[in-house]
Amino acid sequence: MTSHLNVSAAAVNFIIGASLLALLPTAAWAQQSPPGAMAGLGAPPDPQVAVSWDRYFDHETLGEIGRRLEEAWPDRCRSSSIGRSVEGRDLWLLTVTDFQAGEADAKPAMWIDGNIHANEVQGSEIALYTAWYLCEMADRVDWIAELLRDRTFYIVPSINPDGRDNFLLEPNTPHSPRSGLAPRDDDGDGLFDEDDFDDLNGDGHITMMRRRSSNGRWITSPEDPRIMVRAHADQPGEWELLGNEGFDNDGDGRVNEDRRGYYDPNRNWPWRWAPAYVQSGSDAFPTSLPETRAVVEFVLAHPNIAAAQTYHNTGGMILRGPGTESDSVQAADLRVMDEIGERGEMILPGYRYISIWEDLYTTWGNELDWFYAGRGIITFSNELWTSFNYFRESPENERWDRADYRFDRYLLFGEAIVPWTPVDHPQYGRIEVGGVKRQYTRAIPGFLLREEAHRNMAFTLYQAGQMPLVRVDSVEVRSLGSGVSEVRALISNRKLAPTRTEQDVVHGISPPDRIRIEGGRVIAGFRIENPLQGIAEEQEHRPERIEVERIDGMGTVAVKWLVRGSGPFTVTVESAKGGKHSLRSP
Amino acid sequence: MAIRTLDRTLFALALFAFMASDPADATAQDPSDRLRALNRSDRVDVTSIGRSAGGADLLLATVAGPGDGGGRPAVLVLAGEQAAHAIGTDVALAAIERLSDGYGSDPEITSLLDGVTVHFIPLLSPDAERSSRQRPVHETRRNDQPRDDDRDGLVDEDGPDDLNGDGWITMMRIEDATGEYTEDEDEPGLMRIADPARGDSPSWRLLVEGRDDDGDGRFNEDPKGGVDIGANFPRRYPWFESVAGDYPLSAPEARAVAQLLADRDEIGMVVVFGTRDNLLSPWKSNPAGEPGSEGERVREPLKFALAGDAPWYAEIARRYRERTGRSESDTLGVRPEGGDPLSWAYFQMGRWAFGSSVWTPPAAERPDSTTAIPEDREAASDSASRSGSGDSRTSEASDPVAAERRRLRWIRANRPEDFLDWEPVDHPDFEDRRVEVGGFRPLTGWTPPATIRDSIVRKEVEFLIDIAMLLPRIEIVESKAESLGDDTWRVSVRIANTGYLPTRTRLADRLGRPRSVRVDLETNGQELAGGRAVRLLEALPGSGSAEELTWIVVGKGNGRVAVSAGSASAGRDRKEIQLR
Repeated sequence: MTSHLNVSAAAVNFIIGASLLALLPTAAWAQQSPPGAMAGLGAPPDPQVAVSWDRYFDHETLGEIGRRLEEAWPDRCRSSSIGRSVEGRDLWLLTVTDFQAGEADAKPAMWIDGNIHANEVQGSEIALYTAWYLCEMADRVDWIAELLRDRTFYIVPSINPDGRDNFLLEPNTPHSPRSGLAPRDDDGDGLFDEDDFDDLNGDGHITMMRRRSSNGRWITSPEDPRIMVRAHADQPGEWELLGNEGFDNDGDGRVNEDRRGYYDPNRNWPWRWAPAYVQSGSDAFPTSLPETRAVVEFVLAHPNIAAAQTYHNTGGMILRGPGTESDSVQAADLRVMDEIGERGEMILPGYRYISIWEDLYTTWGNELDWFYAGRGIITFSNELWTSFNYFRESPENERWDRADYRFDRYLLFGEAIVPWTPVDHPQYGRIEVGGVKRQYTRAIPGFLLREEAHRNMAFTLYQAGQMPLVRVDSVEVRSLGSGVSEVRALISNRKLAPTRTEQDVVHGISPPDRIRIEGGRVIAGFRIENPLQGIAEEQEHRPERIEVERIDGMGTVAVKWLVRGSGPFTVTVESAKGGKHSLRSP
Repeated sequence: MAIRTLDRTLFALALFAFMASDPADATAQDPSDRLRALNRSDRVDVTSIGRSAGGADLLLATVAGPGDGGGRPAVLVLAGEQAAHAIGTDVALAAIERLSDGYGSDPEITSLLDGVTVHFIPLLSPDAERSSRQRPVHETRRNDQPRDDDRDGLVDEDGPDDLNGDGWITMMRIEDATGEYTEDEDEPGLMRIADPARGDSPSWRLLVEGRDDDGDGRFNEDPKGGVDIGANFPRRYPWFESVAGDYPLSAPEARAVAQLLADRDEIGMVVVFGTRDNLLSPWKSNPAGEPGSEGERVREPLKFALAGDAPWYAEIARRYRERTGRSESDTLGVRPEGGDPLSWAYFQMGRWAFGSSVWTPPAAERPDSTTAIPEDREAASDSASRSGSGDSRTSEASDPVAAERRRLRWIRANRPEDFLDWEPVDHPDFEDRRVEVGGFRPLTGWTPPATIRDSIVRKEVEFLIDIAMLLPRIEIVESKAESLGDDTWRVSVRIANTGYLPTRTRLADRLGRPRSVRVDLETNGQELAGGRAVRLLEALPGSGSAEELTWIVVGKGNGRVAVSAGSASAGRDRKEIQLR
């Protein structure tokens, strides 16, 4: 594995801001507003931790920013690790909540991760931006202060840090690697990772190879000479396209066929995992990867997680499950997802709220499905960045319209594309390499990254705000004579999501919600089925702790007890995913 | 009590003379100690590949001829997935002993171990086995992972209790017209679900023997321990079933096995002595047609074996039944698939996988009909699992308690002490009701009679040796260089699989693991003008099936080329070819 120092040194070349950030002492981070300025809304005017949200941070820097946040906001942010990657990198966890108000692990919590696919980097920045924004803005915005008082965020910016550093710091295409870096023998020849890409022109990018040939079927586009288009069926071409930069490193007659890694970390999860003959990249068995397993074990150990987001790119989608046709989402849960997803389409212009298998493609053993189906957690996966953003419109036939090349020409002034340059190839002879840099088409251009981060964060905060939250609304005591009191309590959940999803209830994943009474000896306890008519059903065992299956979104539950004593009585509701609340009778 | 445990102890004693003889000394029966004792042989190497949830070593015994550096094709034998199937562990231990003793004296075994290495994990769930040696005796499938089964915030707080103090945890029945059970009219003692449509009056509740220790109105709903290793593998994993754990391979025992098989390409065959079985009734291909024909992706995980593999499963099952005298009707009592290591090894890991249940209570002549599922979930799944993959062609198919009925009939005729007749007890939770305790004695369901036990174990061991010898074997049976003049040669070889089994399963062809046969042409200064230097072959059927490969080389170089062929699980061969 790369040493700490090497990673930082490499980062200096690529991320100037990041290296500065690592060098400055904490005190120097506190910024002063220039005199005479008006702060823009939706941005902390004087952040304790200054971060440039126009770039992509390597693993070391992600961890460093997290530690800076913890130093600056010790009552709001704690940095730790939930495990280690194949190459030994920590999976950084930022726990963000109001640590002065209740225990973090007892509040309804939202899980946010990113970057499970190594090349889908910006999920990490967006996750980290969320932690940063919550910390820096809680003093300015009441709604955020309340959110942190009542909820906890478990934020793991990158759950594939090995792949992340490889993507950021090594030559790659926009699409490589998707995998982590556990060595795999992709071509079955007994050797591991022996035929990766090769950066033929040494520019730090893996682009395309072309060779001039009168027998080729490709021609230069008349619109933009950097683009290759197919020759008409009845016309000769000028170029052969030869794939991504690289040569046949192992002499088997194939090029780039056994790269570093190669598996799909988002097909390695236990729910509906399928072997490679059905789902390629699923690896040998579910949770074979240490990164997958660390997340699974963390989630199992934190039953307070009630909502989740796992960031991907690209295409502007708010994805829900299921990943496979023969699976399903419970109808009651779908209604909750629809409400949140449709709100998301408003918050995120250009994004569509859709289902994975139905509207995208079939995936077995994906992370989102395990969170929802395996653990009963309402989960979305946002596919960050969309070509809609190039010109804030949906081109009718954008693939051939090449909005990406036009955006590069008119807004990036050619920075995103490597022009065709000649090189000598050991097997193909004189060729040219050129094409899209890895920062482009999936990663977001720097000047747009912050907006994308903010809008996606806003969507997750909406979801987090709608996690269940239980309250004892009232406790009423009536004397029945003979020293016996009737105590009635009304419990509510004034949020969109129920305390337990239908998936959770049907499969008994979380315990039922429990309503306890203290202050006297309980003779009998009842769930009140119909408060208006007073129909009540007795709970014979442990009447002092009434169990209810769930409290619906925007719903209430009424209970009563016959108790020896006259009070005061304290009623407490406890819900694994809805929190805990007590109220004492007058 | 001592008398009741004695028969099992005697079986063990008959085979393992080094065992302590005092049945009261529970540690004397520890299979791990028996395994460690076998480590004395030069041919056996016992190592730990992990720890159980309860901290016991998960032991791997490797039996190999001299000079194996880990490169030989190998077989992995698994046993002891649940305590009641101690007979599987006995077979594994006996096989280790037979192989290590036979090396150097028995020519067949010597030749086998010079070419094939056999790995054994004789005790997949050391925790469950250890629990079963504690008093009172309880047939648990769980490892020692604490688990809050009823999600009440307390862990392992309501397990079974020995109400009548006889040292056994059996069942209890409570007289109750709101219960669901009735006693079978034909088989006294047998409880089944009443069928009011047939005029049955429900008269009993049926539960595992015990009290409501935590006062929640439920009985024995949160016993000690957690995961059934035989339900924790990923194929057809029984999600949300309490004993299955939180997710597939969550148990360290199952995970260690999965990692071992994922890491060891040389293991081409897995043999399981356990509660599942595909030798009495082999896996078949899909009668509705093969999914995913040529090159096409299979759209759903397979439920049937591939048509290219099924004939081998059928033939080996036929040989097994012939050798052991067992029949397809013995599948009654076999536990169905679901989280099991046997079907996982083929359907998800691509290995040849064979499973023997060793012994199940044999059929009586008299078929019958009728029912028992206790309201306790774990006992229910035990019961359901034992009624298993009953053959729908038999008349037992309509009988929901067919397996229990057969077992009880066999017990009445052969080993009456294995069913404890219902006897009244005082139960603190049912003070005014009649409560009786009784039922099948724990740990006896897979235990053959003492008189035939040795011969059963011996047959299973011999069968294991038989199929280990059926592994594929790659040989270059013919090689030549034909001169085309002008320093040009056509090099050709015929590569044959002289073993019985194909070089890998057809499923492995689609999975890509274990690796296929790789053929290399090694040139020495010649130019390769035709053919590929490296080729990977799809599964090559056994019994001498061959493939011919040719190359064109130009230039004499040092006057020879070489061809090597093979895979980790099918062996390797190499031939030098003179260019003349």
